[in-house]
Amino acid sequence: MGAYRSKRCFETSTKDYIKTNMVSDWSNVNVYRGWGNVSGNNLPAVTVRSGINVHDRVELGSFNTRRSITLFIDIFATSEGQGLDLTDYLVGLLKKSWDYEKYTVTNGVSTSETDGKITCINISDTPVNLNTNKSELDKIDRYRYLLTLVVVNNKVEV
Amino acid sequence: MGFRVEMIGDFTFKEEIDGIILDWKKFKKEFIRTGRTVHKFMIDYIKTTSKGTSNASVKKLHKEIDFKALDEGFRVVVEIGDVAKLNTNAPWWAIINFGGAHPMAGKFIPGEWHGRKNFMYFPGSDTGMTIKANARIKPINYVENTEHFGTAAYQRLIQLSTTR
Repeated sequence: MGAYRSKRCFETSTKDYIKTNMVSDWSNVNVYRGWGNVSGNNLPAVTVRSGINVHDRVELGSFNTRRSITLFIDIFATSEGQGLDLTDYLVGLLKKSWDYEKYTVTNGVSTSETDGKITCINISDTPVNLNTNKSELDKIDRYRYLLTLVVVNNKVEV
Repeated sequence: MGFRVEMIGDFTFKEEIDGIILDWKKFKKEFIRTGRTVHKFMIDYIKTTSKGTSNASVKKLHKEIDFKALDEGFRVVVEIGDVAKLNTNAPWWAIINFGGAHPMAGKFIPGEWHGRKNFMYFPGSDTGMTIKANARIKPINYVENTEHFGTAAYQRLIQLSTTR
């Protein structure tokens, strides 16, 4: 039996939250954890990755810390309009808070248990410009947007 | 602009001004020192995490990410990286930051290997390498990661300066 540590729990909880909402609000949008799963055949897609973690001391004289983590939500759309709509939809979804799940994997089957909430502190919304003409870009890179979230799970790490 | 922080001191009480100015001078020094730490973080982050890009392009990128500190009495500014300058001198900053299809994917590059890590470019050479057609550069988001690191570092500095 293995258990995911914090970074993977943040990524997977966020991916699952987006996926659950996407199913009812959008059709045919794929949601993945990590960046490597997207290809020209599974667009439109949304991926969740984590960036740096900042661990701040909770108080003087204590080793306990509180973690804030950067989450990157990459949006790979098939048209500019779809990209803009998806971006706004995700901003609306992610500015709220969602469940932080603790994942355990037993014999390849993953189960989760809710262990608090993930709260978003701020969101930056960036259209991805690769300094190349759109027509020369790969299909995947033509309509890309990036949401950068700084989130916390309001837990003190001992 | 990659990362920019600005602080303006607003002093109005004459009787307190001598004491405040001493603190303000110390604060400005710390403010600029923090900026240098953030700049170093960005450079080190690129060095340690960029994959799928040549050493030369990464080194050139380091040189183009400059650090500017402006101390104008009651105003202090720190600027790290200038997007306009990067777009001209190192336009590949974006592909290293955001990731994407390798610009040379599927193309033959003439040259030869020296050891397992160094490839020397020789135009006109018969030997060389072909970058995989579906090769993609992994994003490292050094701009966004530095923003998070920098914001936390400045928050810490302001917290320490105001609780002293």
